[in-house]
Amino acid sequence: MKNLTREIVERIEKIAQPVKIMHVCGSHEHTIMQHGIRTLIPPEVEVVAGPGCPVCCVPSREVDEIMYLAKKGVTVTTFGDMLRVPGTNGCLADARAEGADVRIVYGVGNAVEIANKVDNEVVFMAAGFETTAPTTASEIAQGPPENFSLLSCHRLIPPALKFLIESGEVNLTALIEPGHVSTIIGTKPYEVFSEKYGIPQVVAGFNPFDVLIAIYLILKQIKDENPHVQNEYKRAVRDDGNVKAQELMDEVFYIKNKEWRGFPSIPDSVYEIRDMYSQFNAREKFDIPELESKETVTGCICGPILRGVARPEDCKLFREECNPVNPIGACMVSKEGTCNIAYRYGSLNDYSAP
Amino acid sequence: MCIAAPARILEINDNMATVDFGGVRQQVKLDLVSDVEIDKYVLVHSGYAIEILTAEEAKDSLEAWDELLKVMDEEE
Repeated sequence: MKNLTREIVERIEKIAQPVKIMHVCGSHEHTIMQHGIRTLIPPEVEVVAGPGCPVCCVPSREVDEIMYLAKKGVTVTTFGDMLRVPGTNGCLADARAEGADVRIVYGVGNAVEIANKVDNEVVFMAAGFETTAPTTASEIAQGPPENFSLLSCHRLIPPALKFLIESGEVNLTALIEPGHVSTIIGTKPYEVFSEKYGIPQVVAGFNPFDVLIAIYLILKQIKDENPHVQNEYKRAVRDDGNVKAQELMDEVFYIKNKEWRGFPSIPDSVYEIRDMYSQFNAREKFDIPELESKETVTGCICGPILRGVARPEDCKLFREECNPVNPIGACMVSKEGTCNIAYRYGSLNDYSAP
Repeated sequence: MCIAAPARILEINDNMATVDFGGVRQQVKLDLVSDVEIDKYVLVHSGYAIEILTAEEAKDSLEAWDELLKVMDEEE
């Protein structure tokens, strides 16, 4: 059998030049680290991880909001990764240890099932990018039980990309776009970044070949001086995306400015529930006050890591005080977090190599 | 978090389907997709089908990348 990896890497080597390619997906970082992709390609072709983990991007304020509800006695449901994401004073796992009813679910559908079975108020803390937002939109549009409500922590990828490009902090040359976010939103929302800023972009799948081919296609766009959006993940991404899912999101959510962990307020970057569905908006239903929230623990560099300007190895807590058993920062909590992935696969990836 | 995997539809009841992930069966909701049929493949994320795939698209096969490389070579 032909060695497909070598064939792609040879093509990359032939046209390699200094570039900084950012991806914004925990699954891409996982593929890259698990398969040592950074060690396969020339060192001048840099691939950096951006804000690709939606749980990591939930800021302290939103953790504080759900803690406020948990302590009030509502039943909190959320994804497992969310439990140890730090707020100003502890995390949901702490609240559970103190007796709060906090339950892990696989998706919003399970949270609605729980609401159907119990009399207590059930809140689903909805983290997730555009991949996940349609699932919660669909439940809200269908009219969940009266004791169900949503704390929307849904975030949008293109506004974060715009922020990262315009801030210039990370100085990125090109983008690998997240496959399953693109399944929903399609390829068009990215076009402006090629047109306005000349950034080559490839929507990629999650197999190591997908990522290597995406890197090759980006280098080829640079060589041809033809920056545009290419879809490498055609098997799951249509150019228009999933229109039905987009319509549901439009019906249920509006878009507002909000801070992300490690970022200031990013314009038009989160989904909040529209007034017509406000009875399912936990912020309104429980009148959650403006909380005085503080960002993460001293010494943790989650923020710069999420912005792609630092690697986990740059953090003095990494592998020492901060590890998957005792995570200090959000990027170590989630299995999609850059630090958690680096902890598990770091030995396969030697960054100190010249 | 945005993890999604392809699965084959075995059975449909209203907006729910039983799907097969190569041996593991699961119930998934069909509210986000149209025109689903038994034996079609869907991409599943947190218990919801988010896109319909053809059987070939679902395979993730080596042949698929080989094909892509050939196309790239023709473009050069």
